[in-house]
Order: sequence, then C-alpha cells, then structure tokens
Amino acid sequence: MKMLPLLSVLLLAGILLSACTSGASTASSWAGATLANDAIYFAGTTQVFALRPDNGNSIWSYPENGSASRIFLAAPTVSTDQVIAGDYVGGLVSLNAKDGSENWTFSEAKGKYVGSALATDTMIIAPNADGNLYALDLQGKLVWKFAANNAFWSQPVTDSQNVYASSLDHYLYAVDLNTGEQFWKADLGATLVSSPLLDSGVLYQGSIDGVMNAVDAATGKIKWAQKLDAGIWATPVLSNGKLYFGDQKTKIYILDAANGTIEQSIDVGAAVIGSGVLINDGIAFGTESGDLVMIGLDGRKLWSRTIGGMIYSNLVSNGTIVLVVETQGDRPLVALDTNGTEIWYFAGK
Amino acid sequence: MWDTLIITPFINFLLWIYSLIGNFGGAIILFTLVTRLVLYPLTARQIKSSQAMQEVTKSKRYLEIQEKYKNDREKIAQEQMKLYQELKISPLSSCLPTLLQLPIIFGLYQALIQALASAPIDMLKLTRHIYPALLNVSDLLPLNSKFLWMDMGMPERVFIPGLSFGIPVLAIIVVITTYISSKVITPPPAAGANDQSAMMTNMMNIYMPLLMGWLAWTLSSGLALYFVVQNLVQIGQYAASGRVYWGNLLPKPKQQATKQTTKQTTKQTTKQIAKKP
Repeated sequence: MKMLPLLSVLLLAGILLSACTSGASTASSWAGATLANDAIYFAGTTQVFALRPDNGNSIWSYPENGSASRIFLAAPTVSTDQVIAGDYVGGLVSLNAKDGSENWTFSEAKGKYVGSALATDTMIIAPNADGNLYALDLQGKLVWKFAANNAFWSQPVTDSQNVYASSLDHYLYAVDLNTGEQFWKADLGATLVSSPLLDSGVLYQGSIDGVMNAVDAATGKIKWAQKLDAGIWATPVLSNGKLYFGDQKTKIYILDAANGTIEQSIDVGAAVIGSGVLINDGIAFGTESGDLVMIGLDGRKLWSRTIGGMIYSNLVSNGTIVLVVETQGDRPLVALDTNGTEIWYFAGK
Repeated sequence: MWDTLIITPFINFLLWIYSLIGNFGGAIILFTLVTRLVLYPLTARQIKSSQAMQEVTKSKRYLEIQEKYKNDREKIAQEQMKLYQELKISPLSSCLPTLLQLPIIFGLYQALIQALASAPIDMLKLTRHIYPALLNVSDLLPLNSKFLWMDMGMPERVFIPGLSFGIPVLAIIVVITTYISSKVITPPPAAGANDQSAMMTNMMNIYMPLLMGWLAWTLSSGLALYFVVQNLVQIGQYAASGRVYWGNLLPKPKQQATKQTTKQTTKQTTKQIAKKP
C-alpha cells in the first residue's frame, strides 16, 4: 500500500511519455480506399475491410480481430481476384477478394508500407519505407528488389515496360519492370511524397518544396518545372491538357501541362493534401478543414460540402459515388453521390 | 502558444544542428548537451538547495524533532517548518528549479519526436514547424536518421545470427545509465531518516530505470539516445558540483547499517533530551 503513490506516479509518467509518441504508430498517416470489382476495399487502420458500394455494409474484414500493433493505412490494391494490403510493420498480404481469406504473405521488408502496391498482369510492385521496391509474382515470390537512398511512400506507375517510382531521396526512378534494373533517375531537388502521373510519355511529379515537374519518361530529362507557393503532396489530375492539384497552404492550381504555365490559382482556405478526382464536369478536392470542394474545369468553385475530420487521402470515384476518408474524424469513410449528397458512412466496425 | 514558444524553436534548433553536421544521432547528442548546459544554472540551484535540505536533515535539532514528536506527524511538520524558517531555507527552493525545467524538458522531448518524422502526417507537421528563413526544406528532408548501427526513427535491435529475436542494446544502456544516474545522485540516507522514505527512494531507483528501459525498448532509438545522453550529462553535472555518491553503487548491508545508525542517533538524542532541564 505504501508503494501505491510511487507506482501511480511512475505509471502516470509512463502513460504521459507514451502518449506523446504513440500517435506515431496509429495516426501517423492517412487511410486509403480503393473501388474495384464492385466492392470498396478500405484500409481502416487495424483492419482491411471489403464493403458494398451501395450501402457501405461490410462484406468481410481482415484480420478478424484487429490489433493496434498491425496498422493498415495504404489503400489496398486489387489484382484480379486478390487484394494486396501492406501494413506498418513490413508485412504485405494477399487476400482473396471474395472472402478476405489469406492467400500469401511477404515479410521481407523492414519498413512501413505507406504507399499502395502497383499490380500489373503478372507482377506486384510494392514500395516500402525501408527504401526498396519489392517486385513479386502473383504468388508472392520475390522476383527482384530495387534499392533507393531513402523511403518510397507512394504507389509506382508503369507503362508496361518500366516502373516509375518517386522516393523521399529527391529522385524519380525509372526501373525495368521485368528485371528491376535502373533505367534512369532524375533529381527533382526535394523530397517526393506522391505518385507521379504518367500521360503520353510525360511524368508529372510534385515535390514538397512546391515545384511541379514534367519529366520525359524516355530519358528522365526535366521538360519544365514550375515553382509554386507551398509543398505538393498529391498527384495531379489531368484533363484537357491541364493539371489540377492543391498545395499544403490553401491553393488549388491549374497548370498548362504542355509548358507548366500557371493558368489559375484558387484559394480554398485550407491545405489540399490528397489528390482530387474527376467527376462529370469538374474536379473534387478534399481539404484539411474537412470540406469537399468542387472546382469546374474552368476554375470556378461549383459547390462545397462539409464532411468532417481532415481530408488528407486521395479522393476515389467510380463515376457514381465519391469516397472520402476522414482523418481524425468520427466517420472513417464517407460515400457521397456526384452532387455531394451523402449516401452512407462507414463507422469502422 | 506551446508550439510557437517551445516546440517550434526547439525543432528548428535541433534541425539547425543537424543541417551543420548532417547526422541526426550527432545532432541529438549536441542538442541535449547544449540544452542541458543552458539549463545548468537551474540544475546547480537545485543541487545546492537539495544539499542544504540534506544538511538540515542531519542536524541535531531536526533529529530531536523527529524523536520528540514521532507519534504526531502534524506536529513534526509544524516544527520542521519553524526550523526551515529559522534557517531561512525554503523546502520549495529545491523543487522550483525542477518545476521550471519541466516544460522545457517536455518541449525537448516533443521536439525530438516531431523531428523524427517517419510517416506522412509527422512530416507534414514538421514542414510547418520549419522557419524558412533559417532552414531549407528541400536541403533538410529527408533526414539522415542513421547513427552507428541504428535508425533513429525506429526502435533499436541488434540481430545476432542464430537468435530469432533482436537484442535491445540501447534500451539496456538506458536501464544501466538511468540506474547509475539515480543511484549516484541520491545522497545516502541521513541518520534517523525514516524507513519509509528510504524504501521509497530504493523503489524509485529500481522502477525508474525499468520504466525508461521500457520506453527505450518500444519507442524510436533517437529518444533512447536522448535518454542516455541526458543521464550521462546529469551525472557529469552532479559530479561538477561534487555531489556524486559513487559509494551508493557498491553493495552494502544497508539494513544493518541503518539500524546501527538509528540506534546511535536515538541514544544520542535521548541523552541530549535527558540533559535538558
């Protein structure tokens, strides 16, 4: 009994110190969702969920009982009949898309899977924070791995010959899809946290010092670079020769994809961290203040809806519904129609 | 307010050191050394005040009070306060410097965690803390978090071939240095000091290293490195003030020694009281 006050003080100190840091493992990134095969796959922190797009009801969840020691945040990747999900302790798992049963696991990586894997017809390319790209066959066997100087946090893209992946080490890499040999690397001068957009042989890549770059996919040469006001965390959306993306202060930019000229900058009052999504005649963006903002292709603000929490994740749409992931909000996943009317939300359990 | 006044300046200072030396482990060591040096006047005052308090507990008057009112805690407290007032000692003066240091220590701790951004939200926050006039985000990020065999953003383990688990070497060093640090800066119990407070101190000396070791085992190695440097600097600062009790590390039959001392003190005190008219 005499030791009770002392033990209480020590316990309290431990809890306080742990509390200061435990956020690092749980809420250190934003969750992601994918729409495919008539289902939604949502990396909802401790579990991966398959949900029905019409009402958000759960079809299956993996693992059956989630644990705080295994966090899933990267949007799952769908490859025909399997769903690939990476966790924060270096595990990559393939799940049966129909029932969520485990096909195989790959546990060679030593870092977090922050970015989603890329699936091709024959391979899965998984970017890891340990600085490696892991290329696996569809049975989960390692085919090759490619090492950068720092973490990969974003999903690579491919043109069926090369894989293009951006790293925190400032480089955009082009790697042979079949062998993993480096084709070229381009120094973009700052940390790259988002996926590049590949279109017609050009890669569009933003950096956290606020520069949008256009890089020739064949040579790795920078075609143009446009300096903006603040860091770029998202992949741009391309429509009619124009790039649409936000920055980490308050703006959405419209750039001419041919030469990088700024056509418009629209102040939305909060940071735009995630990528927008093309819906009908406009592009929807989520903001850090929890709003969904619809911008017309001409740059006019069409409408906005308050969703809640902070919207950091990329928006997802199949043309009928729009999925919004709330970070530190009450509703982890919200589905809206293309007019911004809420249809359902998924509470996470 | 807290962020603006404490966290952000600390983060920028830590990253500024990092930008000079290019190594995050080295930056943590220098950062801890410099901040402890800046806080040294407060630490020195605290050491001095504790020393004064310690001397009072050895004084004849103090021991007499303990003996005379041993069954009346309230009276003991009143008499002790009288004694402190007469000797112009404030019991709070040894706590006050610690209390003043607490926000700074918490700030250091939080700055360290935030600077070790190893995931998107942490990095987003970090970029917002950086003073653009002092530091350039593109030059600074990503931080080189490798130090010796460790990644400062990850819990440290050493893997030995044949063993299926990693050995937390740094966490073990944290336990050892915390134990040594808390042992050598604790003055030996004063003659007549009650068993309960001695027992509390002993328990503290056991549980605190274990708690710190557990934190070092579960959290990033950058924080564990900070704990180790902090412990070593603390020992150094107490040594500079001549208040390190290396003898505390040696095993000794404590209970016997304490009993003997208590017996002697009781005898002396009884004699002194008997002499009084």
